Amino acid sequence: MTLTVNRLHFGYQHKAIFEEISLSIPQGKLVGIVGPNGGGKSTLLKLLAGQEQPQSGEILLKGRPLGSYGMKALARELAYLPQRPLVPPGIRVEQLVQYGRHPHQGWFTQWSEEDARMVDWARERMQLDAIWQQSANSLSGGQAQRVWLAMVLAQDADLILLDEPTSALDIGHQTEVMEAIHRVAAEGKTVLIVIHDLATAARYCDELIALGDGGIQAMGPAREVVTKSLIDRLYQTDVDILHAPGDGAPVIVPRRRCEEVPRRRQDTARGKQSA
Amino acid sequence: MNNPMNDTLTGTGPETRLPTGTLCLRLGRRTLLLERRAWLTTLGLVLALTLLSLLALTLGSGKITMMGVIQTLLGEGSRLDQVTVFKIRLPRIVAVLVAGAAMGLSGCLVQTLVRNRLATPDMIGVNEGASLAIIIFSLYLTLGSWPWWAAPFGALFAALVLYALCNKPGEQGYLFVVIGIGVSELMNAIGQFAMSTQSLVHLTSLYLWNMGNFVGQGYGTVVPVGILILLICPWVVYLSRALGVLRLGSVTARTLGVNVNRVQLGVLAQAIIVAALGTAIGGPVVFIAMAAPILASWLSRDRIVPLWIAALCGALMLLASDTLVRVLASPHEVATGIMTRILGGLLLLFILIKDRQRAD
Repeated sequence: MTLTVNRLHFGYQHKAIFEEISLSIPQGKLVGIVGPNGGGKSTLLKLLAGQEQPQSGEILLKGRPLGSYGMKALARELAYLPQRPLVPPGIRVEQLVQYGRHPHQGWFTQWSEEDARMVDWARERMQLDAIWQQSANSLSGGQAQRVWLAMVLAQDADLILLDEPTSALDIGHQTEVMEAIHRVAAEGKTVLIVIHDLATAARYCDELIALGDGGIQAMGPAREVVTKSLIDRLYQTDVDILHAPGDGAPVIVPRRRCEEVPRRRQDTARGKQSA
Repeated sequence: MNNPMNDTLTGTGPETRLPTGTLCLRLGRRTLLLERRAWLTTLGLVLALTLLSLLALTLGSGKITMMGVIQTLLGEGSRLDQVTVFKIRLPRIVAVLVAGAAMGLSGCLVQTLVRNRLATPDMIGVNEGASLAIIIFSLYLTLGSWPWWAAPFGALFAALVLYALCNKPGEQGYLFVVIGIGVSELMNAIGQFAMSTQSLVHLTSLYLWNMGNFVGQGYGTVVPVGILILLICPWVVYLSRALGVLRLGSVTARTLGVNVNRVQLGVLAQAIIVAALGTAIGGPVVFIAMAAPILASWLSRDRIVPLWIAALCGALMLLASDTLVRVLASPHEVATGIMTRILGGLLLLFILIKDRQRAD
């Protein structure tokens, strides 16, 4: 197992985001984290990336606690892309992708053959030849995401964490980026992606983790996890699930919203008392 | 781990493909990247500085020709010329160059860190804090020499006040600048008040100094300050690579292996100390710390963090202002700060208007 989480607990002052979460991410898979807004998906990713510290519990990367890695060493194992990365003015696509090699460079090894090879490979995989010398500020949404993905690829980490890489994109760019991510996972990298679009997640991901209500609601192969009852539990919405003609991926059609929040909370309380 | 060597890459050949616009110095496995444009710009600036310095040496109340200046520098030339050049003009020019370089460097550090062009030591109260400390020490403590060493303490004090009021300069850049302007005015007011308690006779030179003045500068302050700044430079170089990555934001920088908190604190400390030392020489010279990095990033086209180019630009701008003031006000002596305020104020207006146009 690449990444193991044991009894993770995290919250802000009065509010627990999740309690006692345990999971393990298998190597070489594309795993999607889905769930309602405010459910803690981005927070979980930040914790796994070492950007935040949990209150209790441990995160093990390749068997070692996350905290035991030095910063540069961790950067060589794990790459994280936040939701809205900052693009500084005046920087070109080429330079942005080259920054991905920073964890492998030092004061006396500022550029190596390995660096050149990885940058070329990332550029080729993300099809950036056309925009290579362009200013990073002048890119479309889909292009910008591909550039950030290329930087992450150049970083050459085995574990890649992506936070909502397709949220603000139209359907064309969304497909472009998800296909690129799928290609990356197919290369053998372990990719963990927070995604709020359940159908997209079910189509592209190998496994899904459904996060909501302070805990993991479901975990398993993508197409099995997406069920009417899960969606009702997570989103309080009654849906129909169809299957796409091409590959059988679930297509979710909302029927109506169910106003059952009070009953759900009571159920949970009763469930906790009896446990 | 995947081995991209299995993929067929087109056109790589045996040589390493370098980032565009760089040269690579290689010694075995050690490599050093040189940005071509940055180095050419640096050479150009050094040349411009040399020429301007020579020109400045010819100007003043006693006219010396360029040939005369060069002769004097080489050891020949009349006694009068030697005194004028070595005892009066050269010390002043050296002081101006060091102060200008310090301002340019620290301005670039803070601007890059806070990601805001208005965030520079002269706008956020650091320079005023430095000069306040010097004013207090020289007014209320009978000291034989100029208390230039008090400057870092005052600057640190101003920085602490600033940090107490706004502790996320990277994320709250605008708030940081606004609070900084407030702190700056406060420090300035306290300094003015302290000076008003003294009789005018004691004050004249201090008052002029507080506007940014290099008249009558000897080597007494410049030499220790210059040495201290040189000692800090290796530390600045050490953090400059991480500072470049920090431009991508603290989250991305952290994921690329940069120890964000340590680098931020280090860069801020460097900027404060360098700005304070520069202020100790000629007083709080405004706008150089803001304008020099802007010129520097325009010259280097934002490809890198132009720390040394900003220092050279700062030296160049301050020397130009100082020379202009000497020429225009001759035979009177006017504070250099007047000229930097005029030129810098115009530049600030220009920037704000252009930003406004771009936002619309």
